[in-house]
Amino acid sequence: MHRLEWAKFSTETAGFRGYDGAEATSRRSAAPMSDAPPLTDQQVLERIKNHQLIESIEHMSPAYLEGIKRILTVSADTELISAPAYYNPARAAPSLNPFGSALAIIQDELGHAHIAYRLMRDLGVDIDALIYDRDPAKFKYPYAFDVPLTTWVELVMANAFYDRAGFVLLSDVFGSSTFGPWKRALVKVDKEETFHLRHGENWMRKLSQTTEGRREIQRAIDWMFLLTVEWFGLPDDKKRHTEQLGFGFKGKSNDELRQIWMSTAVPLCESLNYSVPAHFDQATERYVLDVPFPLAFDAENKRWLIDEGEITWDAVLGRWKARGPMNQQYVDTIQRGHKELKSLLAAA
Amino acid sequence: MNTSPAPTAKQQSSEAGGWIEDRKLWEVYARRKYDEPLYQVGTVAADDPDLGRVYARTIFNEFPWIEMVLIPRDTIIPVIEA
Repeated sequence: MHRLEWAKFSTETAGFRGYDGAEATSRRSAAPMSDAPPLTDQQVLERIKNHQLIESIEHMSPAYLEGIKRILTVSADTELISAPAYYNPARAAPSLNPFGSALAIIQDELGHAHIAYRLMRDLGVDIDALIYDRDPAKFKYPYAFDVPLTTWVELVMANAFYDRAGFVLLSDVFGSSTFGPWKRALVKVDKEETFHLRHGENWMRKLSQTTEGRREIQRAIDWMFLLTVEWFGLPDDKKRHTEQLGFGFKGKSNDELRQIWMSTAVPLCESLNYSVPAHFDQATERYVLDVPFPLAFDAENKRWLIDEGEITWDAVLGRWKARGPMNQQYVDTIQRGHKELKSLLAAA
Repeated sequence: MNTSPAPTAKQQSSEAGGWIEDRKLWEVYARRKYDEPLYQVGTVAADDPDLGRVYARTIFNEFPWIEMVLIPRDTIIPVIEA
């Protein structure tokens, strides 16, 4: 198969079927795309071993291409869905300046989504179809965003927890990714996510000065902490896409990244005297959870069913795949304008 | 001179793939200091250069740049390729 054909080749990878219709781009130039066959995995690994970044689709094997599209889709979808998720509670901002800060954060997130989707378009993905024609349940972002954020307190806790998770994951990609265009783009993302989590921390400190504020923060921690622990995915011994480490899409494993997140999130909460279901274990020098994990989650009531005890990861995967209460509404919000304009013009 | 009639909205809307999203690609270059060169900070898609300017300013607003330029991707001629 020639390169122009395989760039459009629709794979069996869930979430990408039918979205590979765009013209893949040959580097950053007017040069016509080479019709040479794609590289082999061995050639890609050789290039990586020689400290040469992967710069375009012409440097990729089919497996590398599918892997980088998978991780870019998760990143882009996560950034995109955070916009409607954050906009609802942003409207509950206590005054003009915080409202402006919240909108600035949403604008940052849309910029991050734009970067990842643009990169995927260069890899031959039909971005219009991917964003506007995809079934809501096929979007690939952490389940946490499917649980509604309804108050200002929940928004700033999302900044403190969720944006911290994003920062941990993308800092790892920034440090380790072998895909040059994304690695360079993440300078911006890293800087802005730092602002988001500082925004969350500052508001936690401010709100912690009142009894009512403390109660609301603790209530948010009680449901949001474990959802963010889940954010990092399956435990290493159950992980499916092992090529992510081999090709250098990521540097650290899910469990290592989970530890990094807890190593700052737990001390932050403890420093403000909040209760979190995790502590640092001196013997193993790791953060450990104080509750059974994973657990069933009552999304409607934002409550972990601790009394029911530990469940299987298969059950968690089932919940993730079924998506949560806000999935349909958030994706509808994103897709509505595109669909309305298309049908308006089609009827003209 | 192009004498073909402009496509109607209906014709446009029936095209495969999206047309609502801009198709023309621009490389965004910027620099933060006078003693550093322009470097590539990202890309934007914009069929109109003025909109391209707005998109670039809005999306790549992470630093207080002293200069930012757009270069049409299809004008770039590679000399040495990475």
